[in-house]
Amino acid sequence: MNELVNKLLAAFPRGGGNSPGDASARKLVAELFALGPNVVAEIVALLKPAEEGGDAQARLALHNLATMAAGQDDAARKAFATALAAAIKGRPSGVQAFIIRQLQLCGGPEVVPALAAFLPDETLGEPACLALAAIRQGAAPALAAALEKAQGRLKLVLVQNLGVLRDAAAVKPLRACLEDESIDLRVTAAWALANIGSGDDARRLVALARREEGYARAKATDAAFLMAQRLGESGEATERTQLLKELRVLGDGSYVGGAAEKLLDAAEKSR
Amino acid sequence: MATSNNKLTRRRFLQKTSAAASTVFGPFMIVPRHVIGGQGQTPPSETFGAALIGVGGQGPNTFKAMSNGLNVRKLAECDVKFLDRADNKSIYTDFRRVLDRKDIDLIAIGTPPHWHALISIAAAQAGKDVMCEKPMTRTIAEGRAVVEAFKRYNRVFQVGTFGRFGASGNANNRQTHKIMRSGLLKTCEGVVIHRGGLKIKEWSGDPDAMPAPVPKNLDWDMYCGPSPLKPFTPSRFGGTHRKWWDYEGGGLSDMGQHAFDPVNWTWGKDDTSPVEIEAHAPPAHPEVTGMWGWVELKYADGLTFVMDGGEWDTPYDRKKERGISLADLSAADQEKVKTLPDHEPLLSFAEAVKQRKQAGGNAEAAHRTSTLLHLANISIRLGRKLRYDPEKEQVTSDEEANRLITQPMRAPWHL
Repeated sequence: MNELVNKLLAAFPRGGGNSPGDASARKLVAELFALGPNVVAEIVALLKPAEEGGDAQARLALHNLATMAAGQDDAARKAFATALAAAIKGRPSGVQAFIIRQLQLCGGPEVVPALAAFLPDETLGEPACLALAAIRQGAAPALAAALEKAQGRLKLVLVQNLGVLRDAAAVKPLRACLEDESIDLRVTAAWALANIGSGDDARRLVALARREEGYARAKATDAAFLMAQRLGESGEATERTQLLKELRVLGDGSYVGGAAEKLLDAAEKSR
Repeated sequence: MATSNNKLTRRRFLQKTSAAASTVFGPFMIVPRHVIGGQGQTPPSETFGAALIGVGGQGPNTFKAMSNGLNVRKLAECDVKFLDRADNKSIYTDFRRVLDRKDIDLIAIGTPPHWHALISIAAAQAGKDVMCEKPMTRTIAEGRAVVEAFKRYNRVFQVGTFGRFGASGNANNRQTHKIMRSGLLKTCEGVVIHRGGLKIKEWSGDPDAMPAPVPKNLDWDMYCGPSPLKPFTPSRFGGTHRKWWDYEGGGLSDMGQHAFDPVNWTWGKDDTSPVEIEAHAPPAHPEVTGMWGWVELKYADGLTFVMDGGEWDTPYDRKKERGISLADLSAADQEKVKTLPDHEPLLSFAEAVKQRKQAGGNAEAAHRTSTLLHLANISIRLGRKLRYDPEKEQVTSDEEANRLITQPMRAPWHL
C-alpha cells in the first residue's frame, strides 16, 4: 500500500497555479480513493507543520479525498471521515487543525466525539468547534458540556456556536453571559439567545441594548430585531409586536425606530 | 427634545425634507460650524461625514467613487496595518470605533472580501450608508445577511462596480431586459459566454508559500477576523490575498463581479440565481486558489451563462453564444412587450443617498451577481455538478457544498 500511495502522490500536482494542463489529476484522486479509507493514515503521515512545508501534494490529495468522500453515499463518507478522525491523534497541532478542517467539510455525527475531545484545547478548540457547528447533528450537547468549564476566548467561541446551532437547552448559561464583564461575550450571548428565539429573553435583550453604547448597543439592538423575527417565525405574533414596540421606543426618532415602525406597519397590513 | 433650525445635522435635515417621518434624532448638542453652514461653509444638508475602512489597493478609489456627486468630508481612515500610527481620532485599526462615531454617515469599504459583509452589516446597524468594493462577499450566506441588514435599517448599499449603469443605457440591452422581465418568454434559449479576462493564473496561489514573522504594524488577528487564524504568510496580505480561499476566490472573485453584473442586469436576473452549475477544473488545493477551465450556469427558464476562463485545458464548446430578440416571442407577445414601460433609471449612490432609495448596484442585485461567482467556485472546488435552489439559497443533496455556502466564523464575528 505504502509504495502505491507514494507512487500516486508523486504524480500529484501541487495545486494552485501549478496544475497540469488537463484533467488527469482527477483520475489520480479516484485511484487513491479506490484504495479505501486505510490510505488516509498513510497520507496524514506525510503532512508537516506549516513552518516545514514540502507537503503540498499530500495536502492536495487528502483534501480532494475528503471532497470525494463527501460526494459518495453515506456509508463511504462515514468510513472515510472516521479514518480521518482516527488519524488526528499524535500529529503536530498545525496538522491536526488541517485535518479538523477537512472534517468540517466531510464529517458527520460519527466524528462528533473525536472533535469534542479538542474543545478544551486552547489552540484546537476553535477549529474543532467550527467543525462541529458545520456538522450540526449531535454537536450541541458536546458544546454545552464544554461550556460548563470554559473560560476566556474558548467560552466566547462556545457561546457563539451554541447560538449558531440554535440550541434551546443552552439558554440558561447564555442568559448568565448577558451580565459578563466582557463586551464581546455579552453581545455574542445576546445574538445567540436571539437566534435561538427564546421569547422569555426578549426584554433582557432590550434592557441590554439600553445599557450598552456605540457598536455594542447597535449589536444588542439588532439581536432584539432578530429575536422579533424568530418570534414571528414561531407564530408568537403578540410577543413579536410587543418587542417591536419596545424597539420603536428605544430607537425613537432614529433609523432604529423607523425600522421597528416599518415592521409594525407590515404586520398590521397583513392582518 | 427641541432643536432649532440652525442646529440641524445633515441627516436630520434630510429626514425633514424626505417622505420619511421626521423627528428629533438625539439630545441637544453643540454643533460644529461646518454643520451649521456659516460663511464659506457648505450647508449641513449637503455635507456628509465619511470614513474609509481598508485603505490599501482599491480603497482610495472606492472612497472617491462613493464621494461622486456628494459633498463629503473624510473624517477617518481605518486599516489593520495602522498599529504604529492609530490615534483613534482620525486613524484607526478597529472599524468598530469608526462606526461608533455619530458624525460619520458614509462608509467606503476597501478591505479584502472576507470582511466586506461583516463591516457592511455593522455599518447598516450603526445607521450608515455603504459603498463596498467587489466582490460583494466571500460566501453566499454573507450576501443574504447583507441584503437583510440594509433592508431592515433602510440604508443605502452600492457595490464597487458600475458596468450595469452603462449596460442599462444600451438600447439592445434594454430590450433584452424588457423581454426577460416581461414574463412572456417561457423558455429562454439565450447563451451568454464570457471569455477570458478573469485573471485565473495571475491570482492562482503558491501552495508552497512559507510562514513569516508578522510585520510590527499589522494586527494579524484582526486581519484574519472571521477567517481561520493561520500563520502569517506575506502573500496572505496586501492584494495577493486574492490567492487564498480564506479571504477571496481567485481571479473569478476579483473580476467576476465586473464581468457579470452588467450581464445580470441585462438578462433580468437581479432577483434569482441559476439552478444548475457545472465546472471543468483540476482538483483544487485546500488553501490557495488555482487553475480552472470553464463553468456553465443554467437558469430555470433555460438561460445559460458561461464563464470560459481560457487559461486551462480546452475551451468551452458545448453551446454557441445566442442573444434573444422580439422574434423569440409570438406576434401577440411582441406587441405586449412594445407597450411595456422602460425600466426605472438606475440611481447612482449619490442619488440614492439623497432620495433614500435603492442604488442601482444595491445589495440584492450585487448579491445575486456574487452568488454566480461563489457557485462557480464551489463547483470548481468540489469537482461536482450542483443543483441549486434560488429561493432557499441551498444546494440540493450536497451537504459539503452547503457547508461552503454557510461557513462558521471565528468568534466574535458572526452574521
